Amino acid sequence: MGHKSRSKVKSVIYTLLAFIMSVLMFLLSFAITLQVTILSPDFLLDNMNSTNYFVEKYQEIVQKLTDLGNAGGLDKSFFDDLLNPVEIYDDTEIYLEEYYSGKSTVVDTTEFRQNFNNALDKYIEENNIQNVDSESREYLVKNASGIYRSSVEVPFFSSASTYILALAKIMPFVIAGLCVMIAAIVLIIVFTNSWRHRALKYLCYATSGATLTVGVIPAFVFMSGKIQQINISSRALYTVFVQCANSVMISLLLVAAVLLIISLTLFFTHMNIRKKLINS
Amino acid sequence: MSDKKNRHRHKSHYGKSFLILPIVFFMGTYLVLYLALAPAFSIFFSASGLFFADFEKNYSTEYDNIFVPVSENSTIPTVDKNSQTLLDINAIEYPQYGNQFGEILIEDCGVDAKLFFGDGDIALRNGVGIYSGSFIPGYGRTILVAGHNNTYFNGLKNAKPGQIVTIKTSYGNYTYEITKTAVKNQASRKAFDLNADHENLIMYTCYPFDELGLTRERYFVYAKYVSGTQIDTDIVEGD
Repeated sequence: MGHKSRSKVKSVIYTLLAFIMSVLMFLLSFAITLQVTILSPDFLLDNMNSTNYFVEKYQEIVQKLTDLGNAGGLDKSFFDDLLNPVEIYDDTEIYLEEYYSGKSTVVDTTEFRQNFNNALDKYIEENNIQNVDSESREYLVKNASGIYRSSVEVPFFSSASTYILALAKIMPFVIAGLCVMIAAIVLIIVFTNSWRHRALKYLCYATSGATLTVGVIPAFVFMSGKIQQINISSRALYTVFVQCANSVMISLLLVAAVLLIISLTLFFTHMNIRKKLINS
Repeated sequence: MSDKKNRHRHKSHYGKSFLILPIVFFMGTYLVLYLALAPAFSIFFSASGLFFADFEKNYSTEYDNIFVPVSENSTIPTVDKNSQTLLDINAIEYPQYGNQFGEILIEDCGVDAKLFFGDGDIALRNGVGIYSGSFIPGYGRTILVAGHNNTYFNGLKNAKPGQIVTIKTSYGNYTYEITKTAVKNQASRKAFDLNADHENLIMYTCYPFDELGLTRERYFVYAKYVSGTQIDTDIVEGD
């Protein structure tokens, strides 16, 4: 009787340890996915390149500036040579580099303002425009650089910068800590179990639980179709967001697949060892 | 015999734990996360709903044109009230924001533009737009129309009292007579009265007309109602 109740208590404790390990594996999966996606400076830029973001963004900015130009007395042709996608790429790259290194969260529009002013001077001279008020001109340049800045910046990035940067700093330690805790639980389960196949059983429970927990997120997101319904006014940014969100979900699916392979391996190994033991 | 039975019973129950426990772990994990994070993150989860629409966003820059010119012998349903003939409001297709629903014409000024409901970028790029906080012709209230001074409303610089403004819509044609022009600051609250209880047309654009840059002044052209069938708005106001 005493042996049976001890055995039941042990079973409960191991199941509890397996549950804790499952939760830790879920958190580790999430942390690793975040680390290689959202917290990686190259992630956003790579996705921007692959979605033709800079060409679309160039067209959007030119359209917005043309609308501003209509209000400011500028002909549509003024904006034909003012910008190009390469400049937008350069400014975006610098902005993201400085953002992730914690230096700055705003786009530097100095060069844009200079180019705009130079183009204005040329336009005034070519069209022999007499009626130019310096205050109105400065207001126009200010608004134009505001449009450029807000178009190149990623919305909400500056308000979330504190959290993203803090997360980026601690994430390697979090991942290391989670790995250590998971390893400790694995060692406890393996070395305190007199039967190896039972240890594998609990490890299998943990990895199967983690597989389900991780896998349900991308499954739910893809089935709901919510990603495509995000309300972003910029088409270029919308395309990048959808691509990034899909990348994150696919990363989680891959992690779930790896966990599934591990749990299946543990399951079959456990069954083989158990069968051998029963037969012997 | 009983040993074998027990072994078989054990076998028949054995595999179930590999299905049940992972599901229990999965539910337990989300329960733990919910209990741990809900107090701190519930507000963000609620707010996140604001970022999603019910359908994919349409990025087309095309606009809907619901304007069909009224021909001379066409009949739009009317109602008789207080010895007045009014347009039946149910027979009118009220424009949505961004729709082209008419045309505006000032022959003496050389103004001939598409008329939109709403004064957003697409409207002002393709014509002139009615501020959506004002009213459309026939409502017996203020109609506030904006346009760019270097495109469709450049002709307003030639506006003089007595000139006729014609607005054509799918439900009727309306004429107004210019009464005065004025230059006011863009932030001036006395430039127009949206609460006026009589039909009046106000057109405005940036001023000075040929100045380069974003100006802080606006050129207002005021016009009084002359003709055009009014809309029966009593049903709307009664409800």
